[in-house]
Amino acid sequence: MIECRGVRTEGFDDLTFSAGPGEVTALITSSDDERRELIETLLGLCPPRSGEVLIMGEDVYRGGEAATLRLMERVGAVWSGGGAISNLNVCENITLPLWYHRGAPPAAAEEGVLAMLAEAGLRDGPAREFLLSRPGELAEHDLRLLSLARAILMEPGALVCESVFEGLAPGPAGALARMLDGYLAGHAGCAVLHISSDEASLAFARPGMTLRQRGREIRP
Amino acid sequence: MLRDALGRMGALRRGPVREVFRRQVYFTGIQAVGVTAAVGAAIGVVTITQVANIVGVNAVLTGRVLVWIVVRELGPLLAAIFVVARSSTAVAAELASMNVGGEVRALRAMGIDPMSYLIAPRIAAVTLSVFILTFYFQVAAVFGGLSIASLVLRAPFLAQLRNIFSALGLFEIGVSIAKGLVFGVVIAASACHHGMRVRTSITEVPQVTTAAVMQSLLLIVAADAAITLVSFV
Repeated sequence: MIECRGVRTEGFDDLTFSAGPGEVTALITSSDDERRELIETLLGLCPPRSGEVLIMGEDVYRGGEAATLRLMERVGAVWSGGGAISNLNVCENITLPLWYHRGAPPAAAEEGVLAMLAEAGLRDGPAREFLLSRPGELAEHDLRLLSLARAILMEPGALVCESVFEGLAPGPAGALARMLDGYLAGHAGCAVLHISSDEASLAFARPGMTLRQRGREIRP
Repeated sequence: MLRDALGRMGALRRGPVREVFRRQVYFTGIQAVGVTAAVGAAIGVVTITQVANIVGVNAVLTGRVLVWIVVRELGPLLAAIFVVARSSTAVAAELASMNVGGEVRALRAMGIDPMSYLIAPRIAAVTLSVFILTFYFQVAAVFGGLSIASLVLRAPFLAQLRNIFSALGLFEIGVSIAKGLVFGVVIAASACHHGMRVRTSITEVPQVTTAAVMQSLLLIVAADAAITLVSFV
């Protein structure tokens, strides 16, 4: 579960919502800046002025930085810009958290990564070429594919997605949606939160609940 | 930052951190061996030529001068300056770009501590590289100087080599090692500190690389003076 209880930040006076296990929830913000601030607050990057941010029942900020980092191992973050590490190739980027936290080197995880990419329609030669390329060479869709693959490879219990489908053509957006659906089919308890300022793009997410920012609040 | 990074050296047991360490050693140390050795040999040639010009061909004095000037002072100092020129700017710019590009934020969101993954291996790698390059510089300088002395100035090579080993005590070696390690830590910590303080603006990147270089140079010279004062006065 991803939950905010009375959270106050610089841009928001009241964030109160929850995305339960197995639920897909969409939050529509008024601007990109507010979207970014909300995501950073949820992912332990920007402590709120008051209120609680809870993921899988744990307060994101209560235990200090080390506890926050341990919690984030079980949370998947999908960034609209990819969040890729520029001096690593795509395969190294996707497998980085798995290698860091669980000791599985990139070569050992490659088959699993290829299976995930196949869900998004990327197979054989193009898939291997994609894995060897550098983030700087990638288009927007490919960066989000990298970010989504990296997030779900860790089998998180919660996913926070930033504008995953925004600005993409139906083909690439559909590919990302299929990859995400493939993961959720095998992980029914995962809570998914899509955050975007573009409501139309959230149709690909097929959210069970949609909340819109009103003024400086997001509440049911 | 230095204290935090030193406390996280245990992270080197993780595969990705070791990979960062390995790549930094390759870039800072291995790729610089050739130019360091070449400059070291040239400094050896210059040193011996000047000594011979001042006092004439003197096998005993040649060895001592090489130890005093190259091993005690120029070796650690010039090796560190090369690393500042090549790597300090690169490390500061890379970290600054990572900050501006949101990569450090993305690491935290993956549960990866940037201090453990980015800073600790770079400090370890640059320190090790400066230490090794110092050794290479000194060896190249000694052999460069002795070669010129024996080929041009007709001083016996083996006699000079014996004199060098007799002038080279554990104390000189210890001071040289201490300088190499201190300089390496200073360079790495300065570059990482300045690189990580950039937040959002790409225009800050060249500013922090300049600041990293200047601070490194100042601190290296100050540390050199302090160690020399403590060791030899």
